[in-house]
Amino acid sequence: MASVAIVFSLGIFVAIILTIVIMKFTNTDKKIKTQYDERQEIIRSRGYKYSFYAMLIIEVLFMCIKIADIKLPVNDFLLHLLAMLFGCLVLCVYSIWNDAYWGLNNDRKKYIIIYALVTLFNVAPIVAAFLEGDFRTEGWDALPITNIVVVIWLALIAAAALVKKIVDSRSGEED
Amino acid sequence: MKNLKLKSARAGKDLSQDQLAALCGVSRQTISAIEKGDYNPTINLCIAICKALDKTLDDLFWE
Repeated sequence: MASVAIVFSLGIFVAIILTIVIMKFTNTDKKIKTQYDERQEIIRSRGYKYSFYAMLIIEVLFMCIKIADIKLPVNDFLLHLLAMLFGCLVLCVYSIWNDAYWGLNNDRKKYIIIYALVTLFNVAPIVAAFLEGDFRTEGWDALPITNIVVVIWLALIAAAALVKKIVDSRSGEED
Repeated sequence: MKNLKLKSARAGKDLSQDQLAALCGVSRQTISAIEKGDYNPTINLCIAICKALDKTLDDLFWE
């Protein structure tokens, strides 16, 4: 169990380093921090507030489930991951809907490429589980649930961005 | 309330929202929100817009 924790911690550390490198690569001014204008900062601050409340509600819900001793077919860490992803989803959708998602120094094309790669990395283990036949022999337990959750999360963000793009194109580029 | 003075001053300079946004260091959507009256800019942004359009604060932001 301890070795799993070490590997998991190492994974998070590598992910943080990778994120920093990617941010440097995807921003047009090669800065790690994304620049937002004053309106976007206000919107995002509000988004973070809503995101915090959303996360809080989900965590309280899971706490109630634990107290009630209801057994869920997923690991505890996944419940916390779900709460985090839900909070992030609220922030992302709110920012997208209020034109505060893309920063001033973001290279959108590079971001979309990275987004597609991340999706691919998460889809690969799911496909592998189906191809190797684990799903047929072991059932749902064989599926990489974490990857499935992340893929659904990415799909929801993409859907929000797509809907926003359609709404904007219908209302005209400049109004 | 819509800021039609800003919109006409921008059009007078033959600038798109994108171009004005680049001159002021903000996003196009922020310029659009100001013109539509959905966002009240800070005094710093008002000054930046005035400088970009060669106008005074009175010209663009005083009723």
